Amino acid sequence: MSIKYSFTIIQLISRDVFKVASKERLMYGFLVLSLLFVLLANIPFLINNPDLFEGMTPKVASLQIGFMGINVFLMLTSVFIGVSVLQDVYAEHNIALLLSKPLKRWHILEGTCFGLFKIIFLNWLIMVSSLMIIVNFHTVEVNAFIWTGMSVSLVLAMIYISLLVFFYSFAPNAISGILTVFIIIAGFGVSLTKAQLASLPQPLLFFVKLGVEAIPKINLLFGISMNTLGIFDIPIETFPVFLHTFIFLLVIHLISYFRFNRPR
Amino acid sequence: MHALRRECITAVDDLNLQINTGEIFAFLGPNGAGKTTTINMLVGFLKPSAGTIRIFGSEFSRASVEIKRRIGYLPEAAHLPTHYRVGELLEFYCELFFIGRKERKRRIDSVLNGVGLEEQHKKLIQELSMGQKRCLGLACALINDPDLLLLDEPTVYLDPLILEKIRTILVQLKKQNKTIFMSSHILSEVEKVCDSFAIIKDGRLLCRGLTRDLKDQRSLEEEFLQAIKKQ
Repeated sequence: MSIKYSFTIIQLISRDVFKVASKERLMYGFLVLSLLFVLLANIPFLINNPDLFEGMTPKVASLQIGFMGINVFLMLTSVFIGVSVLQDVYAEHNIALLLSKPLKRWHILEGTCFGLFKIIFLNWLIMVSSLMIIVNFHTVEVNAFIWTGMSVSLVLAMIYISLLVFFYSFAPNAISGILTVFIIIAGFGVSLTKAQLASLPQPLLFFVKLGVEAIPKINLLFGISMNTLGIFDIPIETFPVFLHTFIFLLVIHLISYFRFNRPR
Repeated sequence: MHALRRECITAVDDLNLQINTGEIFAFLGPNGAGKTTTINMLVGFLKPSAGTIRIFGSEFSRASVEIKRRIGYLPEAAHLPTHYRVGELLEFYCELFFIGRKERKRRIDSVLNGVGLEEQHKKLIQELSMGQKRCLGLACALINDPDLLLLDEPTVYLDPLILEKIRTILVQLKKQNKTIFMSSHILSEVEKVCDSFAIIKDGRLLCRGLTRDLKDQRSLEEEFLQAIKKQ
């Protein structure tokens, strides 16, 4: 089976998944709410009083509001729409029907991940474009760095989707969504947890540390994004964080692959 | 967390079947006998814990994609993706079989005409009746012009008119030397079209034979009931 053949099949399945996701009314609800939130990015420019925004310029305050709205709703869309789509696509009768066509199980897995990512990407594109229009309109300049800064959100979306698919391969129900949210929350507290670990007894410490190190460092990824957007200036080494994230993505994706590829 | 712990049951045990090319084969048995499990193994959804499946002379586990290009499958219930229109779903399956654009249109029209859904081309699948969904399922199974058709309960939910149409399709396919493997509960229907049959219960093969041999002695229904009760 050639790479071109596999790629075409994955693309076809991803299109099918995209179609399923685009029928989800909840997604449009989240999109509208996120756009309303992004609209709030106008306020710092309209008020134009840095004292109200902890000394931040209107542009920085506006970017912070947009950043928050986009990331919150991107996470909600990924998790809620992801669970709903997986319940449709991974339904036994659908898998059996797809498997009767000339394709392999892993094509379905990759197609699903790719399809989910495509729909999240589209949401991201609409949200970031709206923020861009607002900021560009008020500053009367092209703020291309917004795309770079917000691209970290796409890496985060990849984490959310991979975690969801990973958990869904073990628990094919809404629990996978809850577990994904738990890991995301845990990812915020990684650096704080490390300080508390020293008091643990030695054998336990090793495993807990291993677990903590494995969790994606969501707070650092947000930090990188905010640095690029000029909201904060936090010293974070970008390369190790991204390397860790991609290794994490690769490992959980491989586990999902072996789990899903095993016929019942 | 039901997926983490799965109870093991033997759904199909020591089943040995050989079906000849160009034959309409009926796979019969009461509910829970293992018919759907067998078909699920034939399409690669389930993996047999022991033994091998050979289709078109090749081992299924080694050449599944090549074999599946020549298989058409109609699942037990009309579980079709409801987010498609009739034509769109067939188009999607054509693409999965790498059927070219020009040929695609011809095939879609041909299978829809065959099952009597030519006027439902643009209808949403969720708007179809149960019988129409069954017909669409059959159209999907025929879209790649398969050499082997696996039909899981093809005659359920169908009115006599559609039954007649499906019977005609099956006979036409047989004339084209296609092999048909079907499971069914409607024994009178099976008797009309099948060349041979096998009866299975609790995953074990009870008996198999030729339909023409039955006609002189007793009906398939009588044979079925006797085999089940004897066990």
